[in-house]
Amino acid sequence: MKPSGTPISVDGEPVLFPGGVHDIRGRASHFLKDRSLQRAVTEATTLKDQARRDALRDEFGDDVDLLRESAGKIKQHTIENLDRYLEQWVDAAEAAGTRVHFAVDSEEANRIVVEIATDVGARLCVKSKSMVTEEVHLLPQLEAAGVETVETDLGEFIIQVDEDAPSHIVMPMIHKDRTSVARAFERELGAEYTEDPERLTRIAREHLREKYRQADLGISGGNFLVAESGSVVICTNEGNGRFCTSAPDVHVAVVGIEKVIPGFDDLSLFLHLLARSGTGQPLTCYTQILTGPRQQDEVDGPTQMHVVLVDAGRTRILAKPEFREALNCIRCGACLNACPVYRKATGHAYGSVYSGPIGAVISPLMQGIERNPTLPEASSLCGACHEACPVNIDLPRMLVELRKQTRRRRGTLAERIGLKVLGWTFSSARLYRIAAALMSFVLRSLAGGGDRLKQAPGPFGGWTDSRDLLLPDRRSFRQRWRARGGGTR
Amino acid sequence: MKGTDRMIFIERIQAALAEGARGADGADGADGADGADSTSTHRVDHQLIRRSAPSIPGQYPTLMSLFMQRATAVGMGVRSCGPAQLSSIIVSILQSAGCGRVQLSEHPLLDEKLASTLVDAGVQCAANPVDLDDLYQRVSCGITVAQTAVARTGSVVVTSSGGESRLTSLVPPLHLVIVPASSIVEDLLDLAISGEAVASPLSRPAELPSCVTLVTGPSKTADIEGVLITGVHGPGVVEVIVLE
Repeated sequence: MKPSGTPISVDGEPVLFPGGVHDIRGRASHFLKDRSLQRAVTEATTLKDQARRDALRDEFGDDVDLLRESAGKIKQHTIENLDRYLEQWVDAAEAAGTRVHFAVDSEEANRIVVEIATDVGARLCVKSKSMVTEEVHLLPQLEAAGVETVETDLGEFIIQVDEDAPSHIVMPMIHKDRTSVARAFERELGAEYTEDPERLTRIAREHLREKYRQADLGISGGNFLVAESGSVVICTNEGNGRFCTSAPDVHVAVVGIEKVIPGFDDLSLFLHLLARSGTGQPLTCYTQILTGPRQQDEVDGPTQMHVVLVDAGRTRILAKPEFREALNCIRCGACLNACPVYRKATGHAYGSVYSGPIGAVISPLMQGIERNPTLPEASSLCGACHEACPVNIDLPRMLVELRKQTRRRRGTLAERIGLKVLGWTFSSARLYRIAAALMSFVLRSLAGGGDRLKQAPGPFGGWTDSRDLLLPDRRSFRQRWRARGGGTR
Repeated sequence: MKGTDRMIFIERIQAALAEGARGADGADGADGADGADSTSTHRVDHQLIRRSAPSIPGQYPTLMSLFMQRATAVGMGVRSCGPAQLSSIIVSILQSAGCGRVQLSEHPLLDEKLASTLVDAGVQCAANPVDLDDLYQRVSCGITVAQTAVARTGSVVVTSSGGESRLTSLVPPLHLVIVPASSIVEDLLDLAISGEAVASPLSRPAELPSCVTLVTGPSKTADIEGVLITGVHGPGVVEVIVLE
């Protein structure tokens, strides 16, 4: 079995770790042609988006926005004082017996985990879902070091078995259907062919139960680091996270530095928001608060707990005040579900582990904007992501800010003249009236009697390639307003 | 410790914070840099979190019924009883689920008397400490006692302290958990605050057990085409008994 994150390719380019400069436009056009993918992703994201709204409104009524703002302020405060809270967390974690390691980049994070695995003589590792391990591309490194590593989250397991790559922060296999799961299980696990999700789940359960028992190393991510106690908080649904952090003798949590929050009362607010925003649940089925290895009077649990704190580009964001709030993200996936561009382009188009609006902001910031010049354009700036964000991150503002910084081209002479003329027209009421009448006449002549224009001329043709242009009413708004006796200001 | 030295790592963060602060001054206070003040403190607005809660805080019958309603809503089986009926209720749950072998965690409520009642009813009790082969292969129900429960989210809080095995509530397909009614708190927030009646595991950060788990429903997934499946890796059935 290959490690997950093994690059599968789109147009000869690996899905998640494209070398050189990544352009989302080519990828998006590729995925737009896949009807069943479009249907699956649109359906799943629409359902989750609605579930989020319902869950938050049912529980908090009109207070939802106040709670989002409050959570955003707490994260902002923590990030502005990240050094202080991180030090507090490290002190408390070490006091509880956790061994803390510091990784400035992906290579170092991987090296640390491999060293721990080698030190304890690990042969088999069970891993629960973690975005940061995907980000640093940990699995191939562990496998190269001779440690068999098994993803245990059902979605991630399927992706690993089928040599695919995750395409959503919370629903990693949103792009796959049951047929592909059935084929992969039959081919790779020797299981009897079935498309029944219940039976497919049983097959994975039985396969992984054995792994939990044999594994000598468990790897997890972390949703929060609680500074006051040195705890790692992990929110999961399936129970595999509990196995990975309880059954093997050694547990390693790999966590981004931005995950720290001050205390448990802060945690309660974030927990109230996280699962409701991600899946519409009040809480995930399991919320684990892990503080150090097994204690003397405890009967089980790992004898070693390690935490690898990962920077990997986060301080690059920290150094830019206009983008700092991107570090407030709690990875709930709500902005992906709400985003009309994500729904059409789908996760793999972004070429990065983090897709959707938050990915379009943090991928360029962490990897360098020169490698992702088109990602900030993957948005209609409709604001749905900002509205959905449980910590109130103003993603559209940052997307615009990034666009300013890429400034890929100045535009052709025709475009620049066109925009200039448009500017004059909109700043003069008389000019606007004349232009509107002229436009109405021109469109009407071009359409030749129909109610819509099917093919616009010359350079405007691109616009009508994928849709018709409805003709404006014969009378302008101004004329109708006057006819109704409306006044002027 | 492996990797970069702690001091160097923290200094990199401080340098980035300082660079950002300078940038903010120069750039006329960008939106994201509000309150960039290393001495500022913060406070969670407890009132804001609490005021939308559907119960009257601290009122015991209300709190218990809210918990029962919410725990049912997330897919757990819930019932209440007095101490006298506890063992017979446990027997009836086990019998209707067809459980022949249970693992009792070490807790005063799960005593010899209960064990002998179970044996009389034809249920075998696995020995403590937990035998892994037995737990994975033969035990069909783990019985534990919750330290506390959260009414608003319908969560049961199990910990690794007091001889509780982490695996007893995780490995068998059925988890039966007893919640003392007096231990139920209203909100997640109350787990962080030391109340008079309830010894919350989170209210003394320095004395936390290694593992505190909020269980809010049976193990579930919707990874394959959004179809909801329970009992993925953890217990597919959670039965809660609120002990009055």
